[in-house]
Amino acid sequence: MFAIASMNGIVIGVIYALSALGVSLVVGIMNVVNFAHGEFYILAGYFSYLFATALGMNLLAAMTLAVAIVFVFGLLVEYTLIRPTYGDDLYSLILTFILSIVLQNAYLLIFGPYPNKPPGWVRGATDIFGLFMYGNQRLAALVAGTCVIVFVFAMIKLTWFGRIIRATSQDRGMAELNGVNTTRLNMLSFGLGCALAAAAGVILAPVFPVTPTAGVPVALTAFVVVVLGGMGSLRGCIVGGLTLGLVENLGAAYLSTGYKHVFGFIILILVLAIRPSGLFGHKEA
Amino acid sequence: MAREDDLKLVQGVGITKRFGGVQALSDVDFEVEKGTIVGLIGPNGAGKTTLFNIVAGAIAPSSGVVRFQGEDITGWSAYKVCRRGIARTFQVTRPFGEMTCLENVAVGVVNRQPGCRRSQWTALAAECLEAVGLRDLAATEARHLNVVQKKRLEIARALATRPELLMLDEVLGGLNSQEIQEAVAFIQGLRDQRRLTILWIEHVMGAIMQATEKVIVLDQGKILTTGTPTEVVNDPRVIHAYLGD
Repeated sequence: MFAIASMNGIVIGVIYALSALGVSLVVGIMNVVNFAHGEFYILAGYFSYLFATALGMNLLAAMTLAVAIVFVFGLLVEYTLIRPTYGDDLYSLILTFILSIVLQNAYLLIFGPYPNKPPGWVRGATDIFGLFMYGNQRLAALVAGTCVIVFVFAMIKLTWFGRIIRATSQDRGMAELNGVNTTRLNMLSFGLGCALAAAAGVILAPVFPVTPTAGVPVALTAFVVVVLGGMGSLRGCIVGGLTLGLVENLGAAYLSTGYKHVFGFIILILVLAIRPSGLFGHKEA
Repeated sequence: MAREDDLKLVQGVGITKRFGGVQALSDVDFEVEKGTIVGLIGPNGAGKTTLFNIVAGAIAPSSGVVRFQGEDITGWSAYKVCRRGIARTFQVTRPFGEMTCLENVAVGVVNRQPGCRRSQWTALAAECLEAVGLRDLAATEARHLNVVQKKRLEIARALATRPELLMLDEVLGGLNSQEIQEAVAFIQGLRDQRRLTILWIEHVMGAIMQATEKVIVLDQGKILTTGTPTEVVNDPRVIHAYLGD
């Protein structure tokens, strides 16, 4: 039981980390909390479902296209809704909250309340070290999620774009004086944050079907992970995501499934009591 | 007339800045000729840093015009001003603490040359570090540097944006007299080797006397006088502004 609960925790943890990365990136660079994060996640799930089932597209192509569309949608949202509110963080908070409600209802209107599920990528199950059988689809989600995370970290760490992102999240004004067009960077990073939500969405949709409101717990968990790991810290997202995934699943296995989310929040409260800025956060931020 | 304008790299006309009820700058006219080192001095609160901020695009003036190579750059955003060829350092250093020195400098390089190859910008950034003598610390995170090294990093970062005008804000503060001599020689070297024009806020008068061709004196938001270093230090108004009656 320990082994399978840990495995579940790791798989879920990686996906938590992935969706939290998007939130953390946007918080770090723009100081904007995107309350519609979960709805972008769901949007990508719907798109990949539509492209794969209704249009009969290749799965990989459907997923890529879904992420790309959500990226562009994110750019548009930044341009029309977030950009006019710079200087007052509260407005973007309220606006994205409204956006999340509007999107939820739009999904309800268009797709109905039924769960939709894009086809799985793989079938069957694999024997893990002779301990238990584990669904191949979940294993594939683990691998895909890890790949996206590694890709994001490589981009942040190694490319010039990543350096600009890090510089801007550390000192916005100074970055601007070094020639960074921060307005355009905001737009790009918001789009990127949405694309990361979308990546989590298309990876997880074959496991957990999408419904109009399925994004709410996803976004909530992403916020918990971001706070747990430290606002704006990308490393914190990974550690926070895995911690939360493991605690929730081990707690559910040994104590009670009903209190699954309670365990996560207990960990959050404990961490914040000892380190108010999160695991990898800075004192100031 | 056109030739005369060519010589003026930066020109400010009637620059006025109010912060609420505080008149930080009123009707300031100044010029910086290409290829010169110009000192900007004045007592605390005279408006020197405000003037820097206005030229660098960090804040917009309430009224007045800033021209760079004849082009009106008033109110441009900071990144555009940077890409146009104006770089500045800060009195209180602000490195990107969690990035290495090389990465700090690379930010400026890639913004001035978008799309350049990794090997190119690494080399350019390394060259800027070399220029300020920080080559050995390229892989060190900037927060571990001492004050003097951080000041050097500020200059390297400014150089990385390939400026034509370099604005230095009190780079000598906290240095001993030996280090000041080295720094002055270094700054003169920047002008000579890189053909930079330098506008320099400094409280260390010896350095200003030694290095600059022209000194602009600000006092209470107004230009008190402009002249050669010797003229300025012998001007009774300047002495009065600094020392009072």
